[in-house]
Amino acid sequence: MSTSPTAPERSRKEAPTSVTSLPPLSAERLAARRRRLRRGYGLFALFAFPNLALIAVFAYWPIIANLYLSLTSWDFISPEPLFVGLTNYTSMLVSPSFHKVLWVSLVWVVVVVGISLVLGVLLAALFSKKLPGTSVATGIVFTPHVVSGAAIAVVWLFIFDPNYGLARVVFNLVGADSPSWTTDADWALPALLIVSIWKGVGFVSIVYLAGIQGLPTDVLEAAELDGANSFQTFTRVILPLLSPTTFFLVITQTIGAFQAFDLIAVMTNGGPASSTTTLSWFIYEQAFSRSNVGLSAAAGTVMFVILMVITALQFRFVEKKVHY
Amino acid sequence: MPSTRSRGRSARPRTPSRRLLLGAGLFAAGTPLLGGCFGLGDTEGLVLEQPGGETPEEFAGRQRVVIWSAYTAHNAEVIQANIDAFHKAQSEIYVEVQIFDSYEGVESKLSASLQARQVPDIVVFSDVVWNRFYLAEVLEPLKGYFDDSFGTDTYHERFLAEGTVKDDIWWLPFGRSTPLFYYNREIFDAVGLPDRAPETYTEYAEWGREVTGYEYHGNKVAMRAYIGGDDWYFSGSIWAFGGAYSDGLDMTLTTDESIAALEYDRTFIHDDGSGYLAADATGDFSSGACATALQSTGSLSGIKEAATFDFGCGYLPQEVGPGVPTGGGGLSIMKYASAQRKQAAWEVIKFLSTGQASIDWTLGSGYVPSTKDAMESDEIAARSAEDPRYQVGIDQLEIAQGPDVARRYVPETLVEAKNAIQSVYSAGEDAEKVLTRMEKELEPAIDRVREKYEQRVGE
Repeated sequence: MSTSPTAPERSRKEAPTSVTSLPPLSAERLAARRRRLRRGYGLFALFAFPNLALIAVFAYWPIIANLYLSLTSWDFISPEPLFVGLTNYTSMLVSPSFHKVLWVSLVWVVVVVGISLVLGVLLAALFSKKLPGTSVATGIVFTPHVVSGAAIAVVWLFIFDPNYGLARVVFNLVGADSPSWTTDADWALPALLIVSIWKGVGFVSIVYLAGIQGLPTDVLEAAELDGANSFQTFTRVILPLLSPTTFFLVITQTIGAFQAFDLIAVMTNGGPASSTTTLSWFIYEQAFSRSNVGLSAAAGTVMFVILMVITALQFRFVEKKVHY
Repeated sequence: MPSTRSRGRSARPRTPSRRLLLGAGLFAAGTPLLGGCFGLGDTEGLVLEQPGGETPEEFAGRQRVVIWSAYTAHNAEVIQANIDAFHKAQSEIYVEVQIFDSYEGVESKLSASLQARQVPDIVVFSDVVWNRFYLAEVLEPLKGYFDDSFGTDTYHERFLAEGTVKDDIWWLPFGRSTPLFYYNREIFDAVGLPDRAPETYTEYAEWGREVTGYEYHGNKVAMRAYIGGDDWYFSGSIWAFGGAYSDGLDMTLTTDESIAALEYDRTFIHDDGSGYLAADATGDFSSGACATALQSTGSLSGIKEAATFDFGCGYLPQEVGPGVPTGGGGLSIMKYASAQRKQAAWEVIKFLSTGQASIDWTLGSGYVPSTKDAMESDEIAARSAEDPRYQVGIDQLEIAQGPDVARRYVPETLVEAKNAIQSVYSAGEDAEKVLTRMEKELEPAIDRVREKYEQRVGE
């Protein structure tokens, strides 16, 4: 790290001598400078205001409003919210049912992000070989990502139907009965995880594929010359070089997984017996099924804090291991 | 000089920073402003806007009335046919039906639209949703609108009474229903069961053990496909066992009778293996995957179309007494519409609730007749004569009753009840433990509505 003073520091240190050595500014020159400054600030405000206004209205205002609502008891339709302080937070954080929600959310995020990344990078490695039919396979894998979650959920509901769904056929082939995927408290979460991973892995693989295609070929050739086999090249060269991509995907996929909603809404409604109630579904259910806006807002704030902390931790610790 | 700063801070008592104080001050000062951003505030003389939409050119100049309806697919077509007839019958009012996917869809949209300071004129509410809008004082009292040409005797007394609170009427019957017992006659005949619904839940369980495992069209059938997404059926069976959700706002879920009702279901599913929690109980019954189902009267026409076998309908089983809940939807007018809009909305309700429109709606939707014109019509009598299964629901109304107070006025009850029955149906949890937990979870929710309930409903 350089110890020499930066330009502003230099100018601040030299200021006393330079001020005394320069002739005093005339009133006109000072006024002209002020006008120039005002014009500069005006121009800055002109360009910045639309963006700042949008961010303020659609990002900061909802956060502030949510924070306020989390301190109230309100049912959406009463004339005004009743201020209750931190009651929503205290009641929620000691509630066993909320602990279960956090646990389900944690399982959801870890499994969805973890498996999506592993499958995604493996698929990307496969696609990068440019085998015959790769373009078609890439398209097939990516398609679920762009299809509406509700449509996908309806299709999978049919697949999972234990009486006449496609899954039943597969299980019958091995002489077993299909589980009641979406109505059995033990199977509902795995069912949703399967669908969520199936829907999201295409995006992960495409991002990884782009990362692989952008890797420097000389490094890969050097590994080959040094006698590294495919597995060693993949684990010791490609994966470390893909760390910026992995870092990006971990953050975006984690945030996305926390916000999962559409599949849950169509396939299980958070059930059976809250077995698929994640934090995002809990927030919705509290507001719109239970008319408990205050608790919903408190849960929203908790989610906001969790995502902030996770992102900060990832930047603090994971980014250090990223090779740019 | 970090170390010096650190020592300096520790030497002095910790005081809030200027930035923190400024932030806290701003938040404190902003709290009243923030509070003013939510809720309707002062409602004296309040008139809210109508949701957007365009009046077709042919109806230009007419007073526009917006209905938020939860009736979809075929039922939406029946309503629209009646609205088309209304457009032809008069020249003052144009009606736009805006369709939502469910009662819950209407409820959440209305909650949000009140914040956006917009209300439709007529809303289709379910029997357990309109009450909270009544507590919030956003529904128009309707008694004063009735006159000699359209009196309260238009409606079925039992249904009208459900929408009456404190001697005024807030919710009018429209698409009302009760659950029926549906059974597959082919399976019953093959197993040697009589051609009727079981008289008691005990008999139902005995029959279930006989039916379960019977192979029908290559599949082993269960006796009953349970519905977990709606506690309506359990709200009836709990009465049949002598229990209830609540007495007023005092919860009665943990009485022996209430527990016995849910324990019965647990035994039926997990000990006898006679039932299961279904993703689509109607579909399972229609496809022959299960032998019986408790389903709404409103499902009768759909099941008739889908089922390829002969099936019968009967009263719900009883145990220590009957347990038949009413359900379905009704119509309310929103209070904060203009007087002109409300009067026009009343004319629409009058048309839909009388004469041929009321008969067509009952015939087309499959709901039980809720108006005198429909009940006494030749067409509906002819349909019942032709297919007596339609008459079962009408007859059963004699022993039907409206929801317990907790289901009507405490929104959390429906969610907690759904969780509770799913815990038993799906995971086989102990009924007493589940109902005790449900009662505990509902305590703060009941406390939240108690004052308003006592003020607006009273005992």
